[in-house]
This record gives sequence, structure tokens and C-alpha cells, in this order.
Amino acid sequence: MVKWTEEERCIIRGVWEKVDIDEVGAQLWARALIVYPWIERYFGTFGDTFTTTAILNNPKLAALGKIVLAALDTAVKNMDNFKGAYASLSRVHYEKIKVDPEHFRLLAECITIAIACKLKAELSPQVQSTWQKFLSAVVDSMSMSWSSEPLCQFCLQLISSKL
Amino acid sequence: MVEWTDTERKAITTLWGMINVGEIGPQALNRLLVVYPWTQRHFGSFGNLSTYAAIVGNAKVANHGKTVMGGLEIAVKNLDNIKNAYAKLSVMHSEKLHVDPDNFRALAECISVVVAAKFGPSVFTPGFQEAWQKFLAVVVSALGRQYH
Repeated sequence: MVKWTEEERCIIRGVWEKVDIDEVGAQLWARALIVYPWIERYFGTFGDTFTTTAILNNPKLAALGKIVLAALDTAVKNMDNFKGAYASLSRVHYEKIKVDPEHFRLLAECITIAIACKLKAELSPQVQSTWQKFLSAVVDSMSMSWSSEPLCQFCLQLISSKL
Repeated sequence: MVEWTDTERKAITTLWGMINVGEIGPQALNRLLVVYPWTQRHFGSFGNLSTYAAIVGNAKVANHGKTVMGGLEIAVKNLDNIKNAYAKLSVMHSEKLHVDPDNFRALAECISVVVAAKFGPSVFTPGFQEAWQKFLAVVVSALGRQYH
């Protein structure tokens, strides 16, 4: 479990308070898709996501950005239990959406950039360091289904081969 | 060879024209040393780096930040030949400084965060971010090219 000092908790809450979910959420996926275009493969049902203009004006992407930030709100409110809070979300991303977990890290980077644009100098080096620790822990929790699954499969195979 | 669209070239040169290396460079290096503290090991001769205040107040760090950021000028002026333009610097970082090339990526990330914080979303749009991060990724790759 990740350990947080009182100062770190305060910093995370301080950053989060300043984030307007509608404003930052709307640009989040635009940044991810424009900077890392291979992520488009998850958005086959989102309409046109193939040009910068289309991406910037896609309402489904903007709405999804707000959903992602609402889920980050869960993390801010459950800093001592990310794994519990994200267990089912991680499962969905693993089993149903089949996300490459490296892409969580790319999205986290875009979140940090969008927040840097918003907070400017208030995202000091110290605040950035704590914020990135927080996002890293969230990314780890979202990735948990990938690390447990192969081990489960291996154990199941081992058990069934011995029966 | 890296292909640049006209839009990307314009974004890179526009951003570069707005960047004050004496301002952005020190901030980027400060962030690298704070967010990725293992990078401090390359700066043993820079004096006190033991606290956040020490890093941010360290004149050698600030000066070196400015030097490193100024080094990006080579890339801006040689967009179609970044790999060769950085060959000597790459050899130096590998053979003399023994820098883990992953740290170039970390510094590039810190530079992007400082640029985003400085210029905000109306300048550092998703399109500009793409061009800038692609530009930095090419520089990072060039700096790691001569490692063996």
C-alpha cells in the first residue's frame, strides 16, 4: 500500500481543488489522441477521431475526459485504498476494453500536462513530484488486473496438470 | 529520417521563439532533480542538493539548466539532421558523463511540463504539444544514439 505523508495528502487535495473537471476533462483525450495517435484504436465507436479538428470537436471524447477525471476524484477520496477503489474498473479495462496498460501512463502524462497548463507556477517542482507519485499509484492500481491474471492462469494450469 | 509537417515545423519554431532559455531551463532542471532524485548523482560537484530549497536556490543548477535548454537550439536549427547534429554530445554523455539515456526522457518530460505551465492551454494546444513532444523525442533519441 502506498504511504502518504500529511503534507502529500494536502498537496494532492490542493491540486485537485483547482482542477475544473469540465475544462480539463474536455482537453484530456484530445491531447492523448493527438500526441499518441495509436490510442485511436480504442475509439472505433466514437465517430471521427482521425484529424486534429475532428478530435478537438468530438463530444464523446470530451465527455469521456470528464468521466476519467470523475474516476480520479475517487482516488483523491480513497488515498489509502486505491486497489479496492479501482478493482472493478481495472477488470473492465483488462477484460472488456483490452487496454495496453502502458497507455494508462501516457494518459497520466497528458493529465499532468493539462493540469500544468491550468495551474501554471502553482504546479511547483514539489507539487509536481507529489502529483506524479499520486498518478503513478493510480496507474499501478488500474494495471493490477494485468499482473494478477497471468499468475492465476499459470497456477490454474499447474493445478489442472497435476489432477 | 524524421519527417516534419509544415504545421509541426511552425509549432516548434513558434514555441522556441517564445521560450526564454534562462527562465525555462533552470525550472526544468530543478524539476528533474526533485521529481527524479536519482538524477542528482550527476551533479556531485554542484554543492548542496540535499533539500528542495537547496536545489531551487543552487546557482550552478540554474546555470546548467540554461546551458542544457540552450542546447535545444542545435535541434531547432537542424530539424532535418538532428541525429548528426547531436552526435558529439551523445558520445560525451555516454563515454564521459555516463548518463542513463532514460534520464533524457525524464528531462524532456520536465521541459514539457514547464512549457505547459508557462504558456497555458491556449498556446500549448494539443497540436503544439504533439509537435513539441515529437521534437523532444527526436532529440532524446539522437542523444542516446551513440551509446554502446
